[in-house]
Amino acid sequence: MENKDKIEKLLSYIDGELSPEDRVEMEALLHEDIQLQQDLEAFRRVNVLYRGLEKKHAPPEFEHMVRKRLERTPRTIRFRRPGLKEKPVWHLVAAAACLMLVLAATLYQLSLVSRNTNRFTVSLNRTAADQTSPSPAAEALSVGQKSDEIMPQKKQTSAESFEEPEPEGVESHTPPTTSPAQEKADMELPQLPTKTVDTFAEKMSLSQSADTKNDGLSSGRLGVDDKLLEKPLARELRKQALAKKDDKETIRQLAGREFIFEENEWRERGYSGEETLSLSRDAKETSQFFSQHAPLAPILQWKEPVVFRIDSKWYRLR
Amino acid sequence: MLRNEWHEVSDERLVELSQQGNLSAFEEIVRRYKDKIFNTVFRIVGRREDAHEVALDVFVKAYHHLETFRGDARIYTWLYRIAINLAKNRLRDGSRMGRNLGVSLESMKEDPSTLASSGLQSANSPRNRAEVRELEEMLQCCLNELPDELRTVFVLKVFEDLSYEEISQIMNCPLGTVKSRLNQARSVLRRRLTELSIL
Repeated sequence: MENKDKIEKLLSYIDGELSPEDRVEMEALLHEDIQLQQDLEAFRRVNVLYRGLEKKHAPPEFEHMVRKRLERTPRTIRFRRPGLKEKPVWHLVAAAACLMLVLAATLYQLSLVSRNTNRFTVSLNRTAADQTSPSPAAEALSVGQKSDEIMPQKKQTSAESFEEPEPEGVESHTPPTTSPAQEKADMELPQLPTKTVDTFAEKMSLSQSADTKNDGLSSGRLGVDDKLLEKPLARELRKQALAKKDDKETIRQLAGREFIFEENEWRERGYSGEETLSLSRDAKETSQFFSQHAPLAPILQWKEPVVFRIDSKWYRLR
Repeated sequence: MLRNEWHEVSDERLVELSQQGNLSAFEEIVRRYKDKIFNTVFRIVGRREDAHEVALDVFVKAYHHLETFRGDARIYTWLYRIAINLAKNRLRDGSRMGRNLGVSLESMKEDPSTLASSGLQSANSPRNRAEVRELEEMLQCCLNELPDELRTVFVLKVFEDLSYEEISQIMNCPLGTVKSRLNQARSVLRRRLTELSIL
């Protein structure tokens, strides 16, 4: 038996916590082991010393003091059904608070929806009016364009309300801008009979007609699905459009590639002045080339030259 | 019921009556266990004033939470558990406030030989009373030096003579832990008392 185990057993022996068999075994061990006898004596002495200490008694008036304290704060006797666990009140409070939060959020959403719907209706009125006759707003537009130069930050704000349909596969887009004056005019237009726009194509045609008249300044609003406007997503799209506009459209993404606008041409990321093979937009070979590389075909519509790479060769489309 | 008639009532019945709001029944519980609780708390916190406050709190708290006592254990085990927890809180508060519990052991080491020669058996002799009191304080100081967990186990075993099983219930820890803490406490005390030439 190891010394530690011996001591442990010895202490259990002193405390009377050994089984009769272990007790006999320990007594036999004590007969043989002098060191163990000394240990026994020392531990017993520790016990004797501490047990010999005077027992501390509570003061005589202790019960009276307890009673006084209890009478001061009487206990509420609660009879509970067995098995029914009491729930603290704060659970209810927390649940009520959550409910109120949800309610508040819903109301806020509803107010946003109604605001966006009104705005879209006004915008439609405005476009319908543009199609039939030049309005005071159209005149204000030209003033607004000038005022853009004076107040660029205002221009950014107005850009929030635009979206433009993009060429297929092109992920970047340039949101057209509107002037603060036009924005103001939009909001101040008299209520014309609201034109119902049922299909996306119809909206697009409206959008394009507005483009021709207003230099694309009001097309974006009609380019956005009206249902989208009713949702916070519309806001998000506006924000994205604004963010991309802030970039002054220096980056475009197409078919998983990134093009950077440098020195008046679009260059695929990674281009560092290598030699390029020239491609002309009008050449038949170019059409054939892009029929083989269809995902890149949309760059034919880009106005500026484009530098891109295929199979480790760099091409420049002019 | 007259005061002396309560003596014959069992703990379980007293608890039952107390749970129904019978303050006299609870008073009998206080009467039965106040000294044990007071002594235990005193040995743990090391100061009479603190022990008094803690012991009062034990019974007040017990009364207010009697409905949670399910009767699985004995009432005194439950009271000890409350006492241990409140005593620990008091120790923690005391150490946070930087309060020195008990008398400094260093201040008592000036003449250990006199202490060694004295025994608690001689406490009855008036001439040795002062020395005995000094020895008592020294023993209490050694006890105070133990970590809380070791001290608590030691107090419950040596002063209250509770079984390992009861201590494990009170401290809510396994039996093996009780044994090992108790052995540690005794070994530390043995070493310390030998250093002080008390053993």
